[in-house]
Amino acid sequence: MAVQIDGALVQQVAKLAKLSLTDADLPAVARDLERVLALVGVLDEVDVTGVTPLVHPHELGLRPRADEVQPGFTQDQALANAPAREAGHFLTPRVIG
Amino acid sequence: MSAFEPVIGLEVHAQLMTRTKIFCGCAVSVGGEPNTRTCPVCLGMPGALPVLNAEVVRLAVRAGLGTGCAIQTTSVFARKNYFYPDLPKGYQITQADLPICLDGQLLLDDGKVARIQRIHLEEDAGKSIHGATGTRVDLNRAGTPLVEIVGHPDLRSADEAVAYLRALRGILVTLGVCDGNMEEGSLRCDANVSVRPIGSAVFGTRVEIKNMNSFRSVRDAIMFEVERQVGLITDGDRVRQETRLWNVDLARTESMRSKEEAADYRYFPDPDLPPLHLDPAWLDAQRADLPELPAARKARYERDLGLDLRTATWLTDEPPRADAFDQSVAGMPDLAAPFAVFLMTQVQAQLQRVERTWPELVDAMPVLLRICGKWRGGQLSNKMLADLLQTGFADLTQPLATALTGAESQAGAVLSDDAALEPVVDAILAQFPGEVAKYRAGQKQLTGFFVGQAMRQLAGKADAKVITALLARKLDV
Repeated sequence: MAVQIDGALVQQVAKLAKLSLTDADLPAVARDLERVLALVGVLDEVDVTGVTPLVHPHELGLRPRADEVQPGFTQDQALANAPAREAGHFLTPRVIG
Repeated sequence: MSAFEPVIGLEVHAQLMTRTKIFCGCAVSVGGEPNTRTCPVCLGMPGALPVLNAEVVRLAVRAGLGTGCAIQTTSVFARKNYFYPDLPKGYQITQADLPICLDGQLLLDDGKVARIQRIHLEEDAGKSIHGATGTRVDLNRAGTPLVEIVGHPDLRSADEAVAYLRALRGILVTLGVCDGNMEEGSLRCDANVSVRPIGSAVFGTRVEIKNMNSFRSVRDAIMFEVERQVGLITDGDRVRQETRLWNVDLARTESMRSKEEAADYRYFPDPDLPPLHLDPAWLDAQRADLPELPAARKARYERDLGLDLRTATWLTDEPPRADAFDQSVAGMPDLAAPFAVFLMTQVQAQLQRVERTWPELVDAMPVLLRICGKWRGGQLSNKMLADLLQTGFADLTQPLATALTGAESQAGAVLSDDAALEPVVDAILAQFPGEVAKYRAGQKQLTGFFVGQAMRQLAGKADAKVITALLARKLDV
């Protein structure tokens, strides 16, 4: 089942993934995405009648932990990789008007 | 205005009262230095894996049981993908298709049942502070456990929305799920509001309102928004689907972002977290462990103590207050109802004047009950009671219970014996012969005037009932 991917759809996916694509990039990326979907689309050929969908490859439930405080990072450790910091905070470009 | 009806549904986020975050062992607490309660998990570092906090599950189940939900023995965590500086992983772990609780309901005071769609678990984001130099991000709050309680659009007025929120808050606080503090943001409420012509079965375009951090704001914001939408429609305009913020200073909602370009969060099951399975036997034990819920407590107050709905609701709204009340009046059924009214009127009035908190009042409950008993028994006059409460509540140098006990001993005893009061009554009658004549001619309501004059003479420290009886003896012969 081939899915048609046009430039507008590629731009929307890129925007959601915070990627910048030029118009020149679009045809190649669209072709790549179509090939990826075609590959995954092979699975559509399997007859899954009566099979309950899995949400996780192994159905073992998760094992919760006790509500006990564990030591974490100091402020300096937390901010060690930050490109910019200010008064103990991560500093990012202003994100609101 | 009257041709339209509002349609309102609330989405409530409640912070769970755990020691640690939902997926890591970092402490949950308010305040302190920024970025001092983080680790590789809540900073979203590559390779770090989330491990669910068992207490989070217990509290979410309690919230579900308290609101009559069906607890799901299998629920699944999902990723909600979006980019924002206070969301380190680029996605929020939440629950989408398979939440932990489904289909509950809340009983409102007017007898209406409002349906709850679902309750799901999720992690909170960090805090962004927007300034001149950029946006500062504090990730202490990132990973704080929340339940989101999503209501059906069953509410038809701002007052009903407030009643729903009060009922929900009462349950969450009673169950120890959430501290219910709206000012500090541990209980947050968003409202979806639309309007439609009365009788219409379809919904209008809905607007989401955020940033309401008190019951008052919820009520005011919804009322404003309903009026705004009705105004747009009657002017021939249309309501745009958008998110609006309540501006409490300007008392209006303001556009935040348009929702016409619908957000695409690309939910999918989180591969880091297998499904959460709950053991039915454990669930039964949780159900058996529930305390008396506010609706049952309110019904008991009305039925057993004879409280009216308003007093019963007021008392129940703050579960610690109601607990303390129950303890103090145990074994004194006759004093229970007057004491409840005493708390709601006289004591509440004091709390609005001074900086005292409810926990202090809870500690002082036995002293307040004793004072109320003396007042009811005539050992304290109205004036003496008012002075006593005023003195006790205003003294912020010591705990309320101590301050009130001190004021109580200073208040002295009320004058109630005939021998002391008779000369005063005689003097008043001699002073106002005209009024005495009018009284005898049938103006019985002048009793109040005579009692008032006598009380003024006695600086309020007398038993008005005794004076009334003396007056009757002297005038009605």
